[in-house]
Amino acid sequence: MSSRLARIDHLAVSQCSFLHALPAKPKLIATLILLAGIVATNNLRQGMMLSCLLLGLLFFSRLPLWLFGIAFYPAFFSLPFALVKLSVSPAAATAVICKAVSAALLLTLLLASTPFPQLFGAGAKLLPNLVTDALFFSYRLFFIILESLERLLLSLRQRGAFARSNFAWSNWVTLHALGYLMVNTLAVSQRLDQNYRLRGYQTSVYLGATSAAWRVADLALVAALLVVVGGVLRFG
Amino acid sequence: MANLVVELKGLSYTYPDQTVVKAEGIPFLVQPNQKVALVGATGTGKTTLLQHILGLLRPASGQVRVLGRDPVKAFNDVRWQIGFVSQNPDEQIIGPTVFDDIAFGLRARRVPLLQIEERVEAVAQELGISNLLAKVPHHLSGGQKQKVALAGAVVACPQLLVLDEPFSGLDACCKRELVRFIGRLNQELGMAVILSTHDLELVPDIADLVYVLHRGQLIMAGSPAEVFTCVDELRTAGLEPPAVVQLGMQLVGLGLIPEVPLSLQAGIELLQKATSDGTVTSLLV
Repeated sequence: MSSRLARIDHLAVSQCSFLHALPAKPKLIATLILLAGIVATNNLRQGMMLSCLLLGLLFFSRLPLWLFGIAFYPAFFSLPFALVKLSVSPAAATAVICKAVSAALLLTLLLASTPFPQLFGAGAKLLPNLVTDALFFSYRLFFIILESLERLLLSLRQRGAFARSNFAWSNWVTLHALGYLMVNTLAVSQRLDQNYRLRGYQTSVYLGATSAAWRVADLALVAALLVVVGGVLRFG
Repeated sequence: MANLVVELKGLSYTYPDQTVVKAEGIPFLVQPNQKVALVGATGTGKTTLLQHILGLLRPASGQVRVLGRDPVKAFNDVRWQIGFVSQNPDEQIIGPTVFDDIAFGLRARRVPLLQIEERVEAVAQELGISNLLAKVPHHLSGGQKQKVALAGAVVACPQLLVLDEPFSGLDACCKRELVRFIGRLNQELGMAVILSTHDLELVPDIADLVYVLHRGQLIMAGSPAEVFTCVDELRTAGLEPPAVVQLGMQLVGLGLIPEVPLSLQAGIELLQKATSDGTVTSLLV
């Protein structure tokens, strides 16, 4: 899962498609409109129509199809709610799962098509500096720790740390690995703090990648999306 | 001695786990425009010594002065005069893109935007990373990250550049590029350079003064030629002199060349000279 997150991040900065070319602000607003639409759907047909729209976006943006697989993780967590709805009708239960998958796919599309500086930059306009910086530093730290975690897992596997036949032993190793990772995270955080202070960090990291002005095409896209989502909710 | 860039005497520091790291013995002095290599085996306290220079650690005993000031007390002033490249560049990259990262120090100093762009592009071009300016740093290779970190450290033209094991994990070509770049900074801008390393092969190319740290003592200081010919002392300190120096000492012992070369090129030139004036031929005959 962790390496998939790294791959999503890499897709956002390396791919080239109409979704990637869109500036962050219109993309964030479009995401909010779609999310509101997904939340507001009240039958399976509406849910399926929005899902098809998202799948179309995934297909035409030439992003890999395994991203759709990631969107199924929340389906697992929506199962209890779907079971409750099963007493109403099977279609209502499926609509709950459809909502969860669509929302996850939408956010996956956003993350896979928007470089993180743009996302944090857009967030910086709304949130206090301290919060934006905390999010940004957590993001940087995540990728440093990710490498450390991957090296640790590889070395543990090579040394036969995980045995299917010995559950207790595997658990013991996992606990120790997590402990090591936690200590390592603290040490890295401390070094990051020292290095950032040395480089002159005082109050905020510059996240300036979002100052692009709105274009007519961006406005048209947002307006079209409003019409489509409104249409789906009204006539679906 | 008033214009020393760094002055460090009788240093001792105790970590929270009670590990004591010392740098006693010879005082560690760095003059303006000097390139200094701090060498020692792994775990001898090179990074701890550098952290004291950077003002990140307060010594338990001893004296540390950087540009005539206590770097801990005057941290907010002294840090603007120091560029630092850490062992792991990932841990010092701040900016969301390579451009933002290199520009970070300039933005913190409130340099006008136009100048920032000019300076960043100039440094990036020097280091051959102009094509990376729009990229996200954590997807770069190790060598590229090291160059980005170095660019970020030197873009504001600090008086002192501190490099902690800057060549670990880099290929030979990348190492040579960085050595040339650091040499140019020193020559053209008069930047004093301190670097720590346990790999002595590149030290003659990059340093004009070498300090050897062993078991909490700065045991030797001198030019690369003076230090590297003390083979026994170096081996006691857990270091191996560069291969070319060891070969050169053997050739001097045999009377084939008059002095110990510090680089491969110098060795080749000495041998060519010895061949052309007949020294080698007469000895072989």
